[in-house]
Formats: sequence, structure tokens, C-alpha cells
Amino acid sequence: MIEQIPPGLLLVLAGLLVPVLPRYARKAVLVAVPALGLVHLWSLPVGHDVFFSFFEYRLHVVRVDALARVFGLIFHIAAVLGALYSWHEDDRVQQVAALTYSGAAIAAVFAGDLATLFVFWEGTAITSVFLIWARRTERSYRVGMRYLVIQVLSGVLLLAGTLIIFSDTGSLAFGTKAQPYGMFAFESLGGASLGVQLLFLGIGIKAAFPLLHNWLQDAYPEATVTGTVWLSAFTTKLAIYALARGFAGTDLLIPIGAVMAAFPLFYAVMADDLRRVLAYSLNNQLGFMVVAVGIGTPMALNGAAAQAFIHILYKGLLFMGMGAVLYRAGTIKASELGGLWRSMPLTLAFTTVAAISSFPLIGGFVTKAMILAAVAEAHHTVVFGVLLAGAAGVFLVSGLKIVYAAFFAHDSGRRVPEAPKNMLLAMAGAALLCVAIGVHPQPLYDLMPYAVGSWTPYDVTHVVTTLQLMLFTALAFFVLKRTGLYPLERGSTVVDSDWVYRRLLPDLVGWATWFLGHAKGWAEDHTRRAIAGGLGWIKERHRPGGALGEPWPMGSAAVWTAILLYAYLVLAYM
Amino acid sequence: MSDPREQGPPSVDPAKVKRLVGALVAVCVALMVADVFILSTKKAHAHFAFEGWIGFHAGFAFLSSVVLMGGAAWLRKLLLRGADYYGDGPEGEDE
Repeated sequence: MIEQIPPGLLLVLAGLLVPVLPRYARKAVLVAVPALGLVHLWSLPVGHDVFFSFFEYRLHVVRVDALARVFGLIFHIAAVLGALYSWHEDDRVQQVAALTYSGAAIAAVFAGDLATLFVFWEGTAITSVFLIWARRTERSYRVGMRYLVIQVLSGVLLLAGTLIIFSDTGSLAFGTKAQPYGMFAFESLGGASLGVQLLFLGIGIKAAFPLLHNWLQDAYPEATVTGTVWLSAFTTKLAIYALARGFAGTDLLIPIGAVMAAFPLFYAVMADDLRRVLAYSLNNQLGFMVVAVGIGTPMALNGAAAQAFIHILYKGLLFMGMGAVLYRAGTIKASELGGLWRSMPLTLAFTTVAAISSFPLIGGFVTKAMILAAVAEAHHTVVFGVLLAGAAGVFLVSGLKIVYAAFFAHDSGRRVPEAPKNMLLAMAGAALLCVAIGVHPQPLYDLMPYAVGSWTPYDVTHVVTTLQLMLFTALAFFVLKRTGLYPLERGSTVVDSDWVYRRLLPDLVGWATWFLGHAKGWAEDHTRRAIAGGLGWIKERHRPGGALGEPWPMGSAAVWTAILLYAYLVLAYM
Repeated sequence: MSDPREQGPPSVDPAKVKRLVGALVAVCVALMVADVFILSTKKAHAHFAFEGWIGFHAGFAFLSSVVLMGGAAWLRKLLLRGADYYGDGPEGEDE
């Protein structure tokens, strides 16, 4: 019986129950249910399926395979850590949103068909927006609306794609036993069917493809202190999962991922809000995973899944650290922070573990190495170079810049208490997992979709070259600081692709309204004048003494009648 | 506009920072020396010829960082707007 319960459903049901529970029971449920869900998932064997009959359709609501399981496991772990991190917060809205959101994301990765996927895909959109609105400011309300519109659009595209694929093929399957990964992979986007194109676009929005990305950097920094930690774990990684499931081996993903790994870093350098810096660097890391999915070899897919797993931990840890800073200092602007190492040494220590996540003995090292190895094996020279630069660049921004701006730099004079104990506990848990996986990656490798075999990231060459990559980036940071090129952030807005819908489109609508208003006025004015002129002309001719106002003499009437009769005669003979 | 950060005192004793940077330089030098010793295995491991060059990763990381910061410095001239450009209120502050 218990194995018939879809993973994630427990969290959704508990989330709906939360509002009626007393205070401490709510907090306990928030931590205990994801932990229980983790045990439940662990008990489900690979190959386990659950079907559900809905009218004449047979929905594949649960499909446990290696790829779904690795994402399901890390989603549960993220939910447990997020719940610990949120323990001090007693906001029912956020508690309900967090549980239902994480539950929907978990259920989505176990969806065996596109219809089930769509239901939970939209579920993550509708539940997660409350983590932004829960900040209860005018700004967060507007950001939340933008976020919701874009997320729902992603779901609508997914649904449209699903319906077209179903009408074309008669199947809703999202991955089959024969072809578990990449069943919708295509050679060229133009050559793919409309349904597949829409599916790709819908997933691409959630995966923050270039130019479709800006909802992420717009929304994540505006969520609550704890909300951003939840948001950072699920939505984008669900999209990576969906890409791996549906589009593994699609070549187009390789350049898309390479662009993602590079351009957000420039924005991360400029951004003042440190959680926005992290949102941009998250986009960069998604680029690594998208490239790996595009390559689609066993090594690459393992790399994408492993990187998603560890990235949820260390990016979540960075968001936790910056959330703690915002919670205590009341601001997260680089231009207003500095010198917090005295006040928040433990937060600094845990954040640093995440900041150096690509160093040997930390989790990012053992997973990113797989992706780079897969790219090298596939001989993508330029992409390899871009990813190498992206790895150095992300250390510069989400490692060095974050830690330096918040904890060191010039003393901002802020003396604040250390982060609450529950936050420290969650950070410690995430940091411990990062180090444990870095030191002993085998248990993570064992969870991968394909057997990793004897491959290891720990050889002298790789350790030395990675240390070179990281430490020379650190050296460059100090040199750039000395030359005055850093810092660049100044508490201003940096225009990104959201300019199109936040400025250009509203401006266009404004201009169009202005133009139409004026055109209407002009047309009305001229019509009124033309009618008045015409009436005047008629009046002029019909007034007493006007050309048509005088009685005509009988002779002229007779002449005109004769002319008309003659014309009639001519016309009749023609 | 003056940066408030430049007004506060440094949060770490400059002498300590100097020692830290000195240590970093020493480790970087050691890594370059190590590179010479592992050159033959490095060349054997390399998928691309450039991976086998002495100090490739070091130089590439340094150059990438400079390009990133330089590019961002240039881009901000084009892309930087006022703090409340979109009229949503100031960012990055808790109520």
C-alpha cells in the first residue's frame, strides 16, 4: 500500500494540513514530513511504477528509475535543510507554500507521462510564488506577478506541446523503458514537430535559457530570507531533469548551455544585491548542466545529474549564508555591507565551504570534473574553454565577491548577532554534505543513471590544474582590487532582458495609447469640421437668394427636362 | 558618487591582508613548480593540446578573470540605470 503513494504527495498533503495545526506541530511537520518522504523514497525499488486510471486514460503517475531517484533524493534533502533553515519563521503562508512547492517538484520528477508532469509543473509555479509574496511589500507583489505569469506561461507551453504530441503519436509517455532519456531529442529545432518545439520552449523557460532567463534574477532575490533558499533548489533543477529526460543528446543544448555558463557572470559582477549575484551564478551553473545534457553521453548525463545534486547543496548553502546576512543586517547590498566576519564567524565559515565548492575535497570538484571530462571526450574545444572560464568566473563572483563584500571589504560598522541556531544547523548540514561528497564521492556516483565505473576525479593532474584555476582566479581578484577594477557594483539597476517586458512593452503600449488617442482626436476633429463645412455649403446654396434657394423659371426647367429625355434616348440606343 | 565602502576603515588589518596575499602568491608559485613535475602525465591526460601547456590553467583563469571584470566594467556603461529605474522601489533591503 505504502509503495502506491507517489513521492512528494506526502509533502503536498502535509502542506495543506499545516494551516490548522498548532505552532510547534507546524514546525515539526515542516521538518519531519520531508524526512519521512526521504525514507519512503529510499524504500522504493528502481523499476517501481504506479498507474492511475482517469476516464479512459491510464496515467503513469510514478516511475522510479535512477535519474528520477537522484533528483527525488536531493529534493527531499533540500526540503529537510530548508525546513531547518526556516524553523525560526512562523509564517503559515510560507510553510504551506514551501511544503506544497517541494512536494510538487518531487512528484514532477517521478511523473512517467507528460500529463502528470504538467500538473505538478504548474503546481510548482502556483505554490512557489507565495514565497515571494510572503515578503509582503509592493515590490515583492509586482515581482511575484511577473514571476507567476512567466512560470504559468512555461506550463501552458508544456501543455500545448503535450496535447500536440498526444494528437500526433497517441502517446503521453515521457521516457520509456526502451528509451528512458532523450526520447524527444532532435537534430535541428526547425526539423522537430511543433509539439516537441513547444515542449522544449516550455522547459527552456524554467531552465533559464538565454533571453528566457530573467525571471530568475528578477524573482529569487525578492523572495523572503527563507523563501529564496527553497526557490533555489527546485524549479530550475526540475527543468534540468526534464531536459535530461526528454532532450538528452540534443546538440542545440550545447551552445545554449555554453552561453548560459558565460554571459550571466558579467551581470553577477555588476549586481549589487548579493542574492541577485547568486541568482546569476546559479544561471551559470545551469549552463554546465545544459551542456552536459546536450552532449548526452553516459558520462555527461551522470555529470549533469551529479552536478544538479551537489549544486542544490552548495548554491542553497550560499543562499542560506546570504539570507542570514539579510536577516541580521537588514540589507544584502554589497555597497552597504562589509566587515561582518567579526559578528557572524560561523555563517562566514559555512558560506566559505560553498564558496570554494569547486576545490578538491568539496562536492563541486567531483561533479564538475565529470562534465568537463565529457565535454573533452566529445571534442568540443570552444565549449570546453567557455566552461573552464565559467568555472573560474563563478568562483570569482559567487565565491570571492560574495564572501569579500559581505564579510570583509571596508567595515560597514554593522555589529549584528550571529545567525539563529536553526539557520546555522541547516548551513552546517549542507556544508557537511558538500565536504562528505567531495571526500568520498562514491555513494553519489552509485546513484547515477549510468555506472561510473573506475573513473575518478582525484588524480594529481586534475587536482593541480583545478587548484591553478581557482587560486590564480583569487590572485586576479586581488590584483583587480588593487587596480581599482573591483568593486563595480554601485546600488543601481542593471538592465537585462527583463527590460523588454518591464520597460519596452509598457512604453510601447504607452506610445500606442498616446498615438491612438491623438489619432482619434484628429479624426473626430476633422470629421466634425468636414460635416460642418458640408452643411454650411448646403445651407449657403439653399438660403433665400442662394443658387438653389430661388424658384427656377419655367423655361430653364423645360430645357433641363429636354436634355434629360435626350440623354435617355441616346442611352437607350447605345 | 562616493562609495560608502571607501569611507569605512578596512575590516581586516592591512598587514594581515598583505601576509595573506603573500601566502597566496607563494602557493601559486608552488603550483607552477608542481606543473613542471607533472608535465608528462599532464600531456598524457590532455584531450586538447593546450591542456598540456605549462601553466595553461593558471594563465587561462587569470585572463578569464580580467576579461570578466573588464567586460563588466565596459558593459555597465551601457546597462547601468538609476536604483529605481523600473519604479518598483529599492532592491536588496528588508522591510
